[in-house]
Amino acid sequence: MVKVVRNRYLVFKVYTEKKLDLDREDIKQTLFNTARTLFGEVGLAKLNLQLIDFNPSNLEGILKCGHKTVTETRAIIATITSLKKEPVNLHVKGVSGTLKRARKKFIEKKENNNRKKED
Amino acid sequence: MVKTFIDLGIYPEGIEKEEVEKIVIHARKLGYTKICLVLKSFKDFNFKIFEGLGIEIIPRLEVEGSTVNMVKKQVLKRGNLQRLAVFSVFAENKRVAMWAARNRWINIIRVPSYSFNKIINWSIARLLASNNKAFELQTAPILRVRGIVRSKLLKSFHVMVSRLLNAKTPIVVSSGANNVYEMRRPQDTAALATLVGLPLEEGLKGVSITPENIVLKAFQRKTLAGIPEGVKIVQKENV
Repeated sequence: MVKVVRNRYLVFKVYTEKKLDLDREDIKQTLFNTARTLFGEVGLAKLNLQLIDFNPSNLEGILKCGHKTVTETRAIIATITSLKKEPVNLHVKGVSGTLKRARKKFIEKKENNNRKKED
Repeated sequence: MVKTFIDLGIYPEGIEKEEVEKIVIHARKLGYTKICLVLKSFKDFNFKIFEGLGIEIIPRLEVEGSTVNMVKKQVLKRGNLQRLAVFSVFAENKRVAMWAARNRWINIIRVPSYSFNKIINWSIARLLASNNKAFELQTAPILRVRGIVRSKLLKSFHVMVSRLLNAKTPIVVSSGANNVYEMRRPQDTAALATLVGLPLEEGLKGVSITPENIVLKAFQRKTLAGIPEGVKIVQKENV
């Protein structure tokens, strides 16, 4: 059976020059508040957003959305300009259809490359 | 498949090496292959120091003024057009926009974000399209404001974008960033442009194909291909 809503997983990264103590809740609040400001409550409901994962050490996270709302989700991520009153820059590293693939392609690959460089 | 991404509008706050280098490195990380730096003067700026960073830097000169004469004077003063790649005009009113749309040296037109509708009317949009001049849409003004001000700005952008799309005017989507925090990935910039009614395909064209054509056209100016055809003199017997 064909799924009505197919999920997409967006891997994003927070860029900041200062060291910020960010946790999952901070990111989640900011993302959802920005989405509500941009598209309203009805729009937010349609986006089907869910913060799957956020790693405070490398400031990377995974956000789930519907396959038809990837562009809007990208716009939400791009609109965020500050976190904890510090200027930040969020950008999408890549989009994948499965969580496993998203982790493998955009998170683990980089970690493997870093390990190779250290060796 | 789109591969070359160009950010045509980066406005560094200063010309100090560290500041510009930070922007250049960040642009490369974000996936741009070429960027345009808009500086008031290129006299004290050395482009060669950024050669090893793997990204092409294109100079862009922008002139602005409230009257056509003011803009013309600036063009003449800063002239040296042969050396510069991209030339743009920040049009503060309809007359300047009309003049810039007709001038063959000008590649890009930019207008103040709060008065798009007053300046770019249907005839200017058509003129831009027929003369193959691009209109620049910057995303940084959207990021700098919030609430009702942003809502009003988006509305103004929306009306203008639909007008430009109807007139088939080439649209360039650039960041208009002053610092690294206002820069976004090309795909994210195109996604931001969808907020003002620009379809994603057009947005992606606006960060890749359209700016590339502008840069090519600007570089052509330096060669013989950039000289327009004049009157051809033929001998009487051949007529």
